[in-house]
Amino acid sequence: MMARWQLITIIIGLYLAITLGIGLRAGKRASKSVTGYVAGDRSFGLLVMYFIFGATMFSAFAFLGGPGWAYSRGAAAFYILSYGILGMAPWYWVGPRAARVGRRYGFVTQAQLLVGRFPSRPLTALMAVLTVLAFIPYITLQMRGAGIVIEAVTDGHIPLWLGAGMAYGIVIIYVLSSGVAAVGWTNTFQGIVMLVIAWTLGIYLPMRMYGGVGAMFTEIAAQRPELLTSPGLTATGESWSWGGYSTAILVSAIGVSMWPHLFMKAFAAKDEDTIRRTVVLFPTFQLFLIPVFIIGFAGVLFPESPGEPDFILPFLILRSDLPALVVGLFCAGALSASMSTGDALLHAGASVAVEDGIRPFRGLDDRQQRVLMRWLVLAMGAIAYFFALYEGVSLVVLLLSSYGIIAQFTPPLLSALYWKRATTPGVMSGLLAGSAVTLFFFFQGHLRPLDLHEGILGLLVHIPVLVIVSLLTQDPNPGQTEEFLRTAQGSARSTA
Amino acid sequence: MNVRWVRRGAALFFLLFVLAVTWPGMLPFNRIHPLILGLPFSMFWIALWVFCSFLVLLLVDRVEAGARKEDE
Repeated sequence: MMARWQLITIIIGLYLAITLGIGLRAGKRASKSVTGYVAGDRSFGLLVMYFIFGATMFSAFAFLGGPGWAYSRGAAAFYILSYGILGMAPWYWVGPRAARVGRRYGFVTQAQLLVGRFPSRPLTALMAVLTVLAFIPYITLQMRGAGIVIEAVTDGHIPLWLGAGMAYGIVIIYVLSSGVAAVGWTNTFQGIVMLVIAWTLGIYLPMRMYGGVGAMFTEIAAQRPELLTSPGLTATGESWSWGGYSTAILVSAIGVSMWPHLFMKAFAAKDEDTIRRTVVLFPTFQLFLIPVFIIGFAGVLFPESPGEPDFILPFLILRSDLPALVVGLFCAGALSASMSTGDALLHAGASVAVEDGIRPFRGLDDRQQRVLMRWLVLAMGAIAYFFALYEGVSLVVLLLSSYGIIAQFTPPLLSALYWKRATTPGVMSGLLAGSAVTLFFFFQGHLRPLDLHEGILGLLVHIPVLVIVSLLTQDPNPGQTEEFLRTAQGSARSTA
Repeated sequence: MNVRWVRRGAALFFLLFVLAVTWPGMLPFNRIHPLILGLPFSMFWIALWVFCSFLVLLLVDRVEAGARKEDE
């Protein structure tokens, strides 16, 4: 008779093999060019875009951290449920605009769009540096998530270093060979796995433990009512502030679509309708956070507790005597969440580093760019793997603060696409001022008024600086600006 | 339906959404009972807005797609 952990390992192995197969196959159709590697020849259809946005946005943080938050901080987790579509809805109009200029001028990254409107080499370098800085802790967390899950469900037979190494070895192989096409098609598979498993477990666990979702919440309401109303608790168990909760929703909504690995997919979409429909369908993916939170709440009244709240999901799964098959599938779901975000990050990080950080300063031909991107995928993977093995709490904190930085990309990008009077010095000084204020309040958290998120404080300085400096300076090339905005607007009158 | 009005309506809807899930708009709805579909009311309230976003965006897309066709 096979040991339980061996059966689970086989399921995980199967899942990884399928993912690898899909990833390698995907690249066969993509052209051998930078546009092919970074933007998938601008050919992604609705199905792929839907799952890219869904599966990429909801990472290991949502799949493992979401239940962890619901379990330890209660309704504080509801902020994660609130912001997704708020951030995506404007994309219905912004996305097609970005895609039009991307097609016309050949952009494949966010900074290229920005610099296409505001020519400045320091600006592209700044964007590249901020992107890579925000990505490294993010990738590290995804790798750790994968390693932890595998270690937990195999009773430690496959330790963290090996589990994370296997999962991300596979990610790196398919990202290296197939570029964004692999990211797209594997995310489709991973997205389906995530959705099915979250909904199944979210209904199954409370049924098994309490007799139903309503019965579970009735019991929690009787014993721990403070967990069920916003803004919930802080990590240390005190009440969270409304200021902190509300601005966490705001800064996430403002920043979410500006994450380079998501924004860049506007350039990968086949046509404008695909982008629009992706936005329309997005809420249906987002609702999968409901079962994810239910899973976390299911652990609240459990007599034992895991060492760390983030492990509540594997902890519950392992202690509720579930069949090995269910445990294996859960693990596949968690790996999907981790890998679907990790692959997009590695790919986008390397693309941005080459396109925005190196190419503007040193001439590279198409082939050299692709070679360099692959080396950088490897390098970023290696750095993140190193941190994943020797990491402390600081990375989680870094990730949360990177949202504040990413939110600072919103004013320049919106100005580039909509505001005629914006100038290069205006955008540059706004971005610098906003990032500086965000970082200052990140390190001096106790100085924040009303517990407001540092990213919101950054924006409160960023936007006036952008507007005032723009109005005080002149656009050196108004003809070019007009042309750019006309392209963004497209031919259709209704997009005015 | 007029594209301009639908856009204004959508903008208004998402503005109300923001207000309804943050302080102070959330306060009147921030309660446990009644449980709806088994969920605490506070959680159901947010999920309801997410679901309504889907309906609003479907409407927006219908109207915008119609207007784009007329243009061509």
